[in-house]
Parts: sequence; C-alpha cells; structure tokens
Amino acid sequence: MKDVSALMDGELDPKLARSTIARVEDQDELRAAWATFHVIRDTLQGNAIGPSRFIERFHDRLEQEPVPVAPRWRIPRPGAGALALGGAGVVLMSALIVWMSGAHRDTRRPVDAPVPAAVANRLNGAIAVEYAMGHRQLNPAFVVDDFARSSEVRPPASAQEAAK
Amino acid sequence: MTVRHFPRRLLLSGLCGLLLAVAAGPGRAAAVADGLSWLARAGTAARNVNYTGTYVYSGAGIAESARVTRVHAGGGDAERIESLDGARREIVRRGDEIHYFFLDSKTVRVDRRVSGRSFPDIVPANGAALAAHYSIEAGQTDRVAGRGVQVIRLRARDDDRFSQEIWADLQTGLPLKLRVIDSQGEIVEQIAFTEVSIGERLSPKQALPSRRAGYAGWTVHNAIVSDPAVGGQPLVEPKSLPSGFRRVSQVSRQWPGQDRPVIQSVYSDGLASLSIFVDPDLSKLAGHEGYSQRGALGVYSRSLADRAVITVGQLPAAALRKVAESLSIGAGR
Amino acid sequence: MSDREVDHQLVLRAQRGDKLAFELLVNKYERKLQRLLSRLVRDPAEVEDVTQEAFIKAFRALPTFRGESAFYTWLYRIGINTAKNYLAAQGRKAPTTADIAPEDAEEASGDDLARDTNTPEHEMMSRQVAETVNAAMDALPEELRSAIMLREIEGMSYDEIAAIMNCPIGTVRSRIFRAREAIAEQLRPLLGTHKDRRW
Repeated sequence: MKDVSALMDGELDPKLARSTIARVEDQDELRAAWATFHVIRDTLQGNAIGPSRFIERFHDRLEQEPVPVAPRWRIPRPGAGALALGGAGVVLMSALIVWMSGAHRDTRRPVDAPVPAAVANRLNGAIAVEYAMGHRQLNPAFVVDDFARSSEVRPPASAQEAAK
Repeated sequence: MTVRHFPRRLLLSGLCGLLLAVAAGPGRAAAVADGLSWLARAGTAARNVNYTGTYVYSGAGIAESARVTRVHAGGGDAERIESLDGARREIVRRGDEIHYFFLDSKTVRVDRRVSGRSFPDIVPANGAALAAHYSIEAGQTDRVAGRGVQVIRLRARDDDRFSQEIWADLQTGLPLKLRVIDSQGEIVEQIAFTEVSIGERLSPKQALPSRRAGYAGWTVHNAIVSDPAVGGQPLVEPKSLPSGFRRVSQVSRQWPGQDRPVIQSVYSDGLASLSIFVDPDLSKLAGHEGYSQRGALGVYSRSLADRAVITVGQLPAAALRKVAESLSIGAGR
Repeated sequence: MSDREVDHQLVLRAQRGDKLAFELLVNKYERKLQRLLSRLVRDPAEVEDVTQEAFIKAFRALPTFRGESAFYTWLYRIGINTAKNYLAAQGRKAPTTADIAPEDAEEASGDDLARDTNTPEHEMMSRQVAETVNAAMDALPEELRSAIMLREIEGMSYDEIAAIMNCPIGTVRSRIFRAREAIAEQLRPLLGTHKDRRW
C-alpha cells in the first residue's frame, strides 16, 4: 500500500511502478487505497466532492463497451522536460521559504486563483484571521473565536451590560 | 458607514457607462434598464423588509451555514446571525453596534460596524452609480430557496474587481443568492439562502441575543471603535486604488491586549470594499508578510516604516496587491 | 515513473483491453472533470451524467490517444466537447465565461469545493468530506501533516520535501503514506456507505 502512495506521487522506479499498477488492479484493498488517496488529494486541493456512486455507475456502463483496438505507441521519455523541471525545483524551494515564514505566495498559481482552504486556514495564522474579521464583520465564516481567546482575559464585569 | 453619497463625478461616469451599454443594441439596452431597476429594488428591499432564513456561504473550500433574522422596528433595525457549523457563534447587530457571542468560550466581543454591508444587504441605495464600474444587466429568472428570483449580473469593467451575480426575490427584491466571480469566470465565493421567509411580522426580540441572562463568568472584550481620532499619527495612504474606490470611513479601534489603537480605513466602489489596517505593533507581523486568500477575501500584510499594514478586501489578488504595494505614509489630512 | 508516465502506462494497458486500468484513471480524474464540467452544466445531476458520458467517449477514443499530450489534457478536451454537445442538444448555450483555454487543463485545481454544486445536499456531502479530511489533518502529528501538505498542496517531489524537512527520502515516503492512511481511516465510513461498493 505504501507503493500505491508512492506510485500516485510519481516516485516509483519504472519497474516497481509497473508491478505496482498490476497489483493495484488485482487487489481490492489496493484499489480502495488508490481511490481514497485520490479523494484526499482532491479535497486538500479544494476539489472536494461528496461520496457518490460515480465509479459504480461507470463500471456498469464500461462493461457494455467493446474493447477498442489500439495501435502501438511509445511512452515519451523524459528528456528536455526533465531538465526544465530541475529549474522549476529551484523556484519551488525559494517559494517555500516564503511559505515557511507564514506568508503565502504560490508562484505556480495564477494570481487570481483562490488558495486552497487548507493553505489559507493554516498559513495565515492569527494575523489574517483578526483582520479578516475586522473587515467582514457580519459574515460568520470569518468570525472566529481564536481572536478573543488569544487576547488578554479581562474581568467580566460588564458582561451583563454587553448582553442587554 | 455605508456609501450613501456618491460624488457627482462618479454618477456622471456611471451614466456614461450606461450610455455605452445602450449603444450596444436594443435588446441589450432593455436588459440593462431591467438590470438597473432590479438593482434598485434589491437595494431598498434589505433595508425595508423583515426576513428570517438559513444561508450557506461557500468559498475556497469551506462551506458554512448560518441562520439570519433581521427585523425593522421603530426606524431602526436589528439582526441576529447564528452560525450553524463549528464553534457556536452568534452575531447580534443593532444599528451599527455589534455583539459577538462566543458561546463555547463564554466570550462577548463588542464592536461597531465599520465596513459596510453584508449579505443579503449588499446593494447600495444608489445602485445606478455602480454602472461606472460594472456592466449591469438583468439575466434570466430562476428559483432560489423555493422562491422565484431574477438574476442581476454585474460584470466588472476592469480586472481590478470581481464580477458579481445577484439572485433577487421576484416579490420583494431581496437578494437571495450572491456569487462573486473572477475574471476567469471562476466562482470565488457564493452565499445563498436554502430556506427563507420574507416580510413576516417578526418581533424585535427575535433579532436579539438568544441568551438573555446568565453571563456570570463571561469575558468581555470591547473593541472601542471611535471616529477618526487619528491625532498626530501620520496616515497611511494608498497611491493607487481601483477606479471608483473612495474612502467611506476611517476609525480607530482597540485591539485586544494592545494599548495603541489600530486605524482602519475602509474604501469601496459601492459594491466591493477593502480595509487598510495600520497597526502600530509591528512585531505582530513576525514574518507573516505576504498574501493569502479565503473565498473572495484577500489579505496582504506588509510592514511600512515601523508599522504593520494589512490590506484586506474582496478584490482579485493582483488588484489587492497593487493597493498594498502603493501604500505610503502621508502627511494626513 | 512520473505521474504523467503512470497515466500513460494505465492508458497503454487500457488500450490493450484492460478495463480496470481505465477505471483507475476514472478514479483519479472523476472529481477534477466533474468540477470542470460543472462550469458549463450547472445542475449537479446533469454534471454527473455528462462526466460519465465523457469518460465513455474517452474510452472509445483510446486508440486515437498517442501519448503526445498529458492524458488529462486530452480527457479535458473530450469533456468540454461532450458538455457543449449536451447543452446544444438541450437547446442551451454554453456560458462563455466558462470557456477556458485548454492550457488551463492541468492547472484546474485549487478552487472552492462547493461553488458548482447548487443543491444543499451536494454541498452538505462535499462539506462532510472536506471537514473529515481537515479534522484528520489536524489530528496528524506535525511531521506527517507537513509532509502531506508539501506534497499535495505545494506539489513538491519527495526529493524537495526531504531537503526541506531534513530527512531521508525513505522517511518522506513513509510519512506521506502514514498521513494518507490516517486520513483514509477517517474517510472510510463516509466513502464506504454503499453496500455493493466494489472497493
């Protein structure tokens, strides 16, 4: 199952990858892992979709389909593309340093694209939360308790008054 | 605190936008005229009718539902918004006074409304002025929360703001659904009622805190918002703002556990708004400089001289960044 | 074997008549494609039908896939065409704002979860999944959480993560796997509600 995880990350050597794919097809447990791990990936990337019978329905339809006949073709070898990737790696590293310091500026995403919730929620920390609440005062999605809790505790003398 | 008086110049440019739209063809002209009259209805509805219902906010991978009740009585209004997901929170607004009740941690926070309107009270009284920055037209009719609605499209005329779509109740004009859309056509945020009843005779009590007594042991934090009171503090001014954005308020507020006040300036084009917070406590940033986003709301924090300056607004990332990067310390006015 | 090559490997097997291999691709891309097509077709039930149709069309067209482009880019075009044909057959026009360039195909992630699903039921279910994943993430030990975030959100390779976290690649591999296992454990009750579910 660990190999399924590495397979979907593109981190297995070709030989092991091929044998893992064969095993995933054969074993229910590994297929379940493949499916669920992809649900997790999509959810973390902001593409959550509720549980559905999509694959069951599809399976039933696919059974009716005749198998298409394909000419042989070759899988493209990683060549110049792999070199370019090395360059991208450097960019990523520097992007991460910004990330680690709490800011988020993803160089690979178009500027207008929304940042996945997991990133936004985790990386902003208290600072963004405070000010987001100060701006969107009446939207409960931006009203959080952390702010009040993290502040100095004050005597509750005027609580009754405030609640009137 | 809301944008009531638009400068004359803005109104005129709004009309120019309208004329341009009319020139585009008779079918389109009718849609534009319809759009404007629906916008006007939507603008007055929230300020006049009582409503109670449940809406779902969704944006950037989160969805959150809340129950809202708004009652108009004796020339004023009150609103109660209860979160239905996560930690129990209740927001009660009377006029411009806001109380946040955090029921799990027994904390009350007292604040004042400074940043304008929120769903479903989203359309300014003078909706026609928006035509300068949005191309407005009526779309199809549809159904939201079981009620017939009219779609009003507000397409941003530039990339400095989001487009919006409003689903307005056919009977009353009250916005029942709102979508915020970026230049790629992506929906960045949506709020929609799932059930609502409008125009009922509601008692003001229904918009007051659900908990009436028993606050012993609660913590109270008062945000103590005061009008400008900037005093000798130099102002931070944006050199660049998206067209049509005007400063609509500037207040000084008390952040918890902090002596020196934070200055908040709110700018709006009538529909979208942004706040610039100037916080004297630079240490708070502690490496948190940069941009982040949640739904349509972007937050850009940076340091300026010895202050932390945080720009927050419902603007596309690039536009918000442009504002934040143009900030400089002005002499104050 | 890179992600793209894994896809090509699966396509190759499918082209040889291995339907299970194609179903693995469906498993992988069903949500991405549904989300994409929901920009054109708004009703969630219709979106699912159109997506099913698109995958069937892709399966039939497999012999024409040469592997010059990424599988998803190819699938994406089929999906868009299927949705447009569907709307045309209904006498509806595809919303032009939803028309996005094919180059976006591989960038099409990182959007909000509920924005295309109009019904509260759909929102509710998506939210449940999102909440479960987030809660499971929160419960993870820090080193597992960081590892999976760097992988899934920042899209880093194991190499890069190992450099950042200052640990051997084998450790990265095992941390990401353990994180996935822990989250999957929490998701199972939610995903495995269908008695006749095949996996």
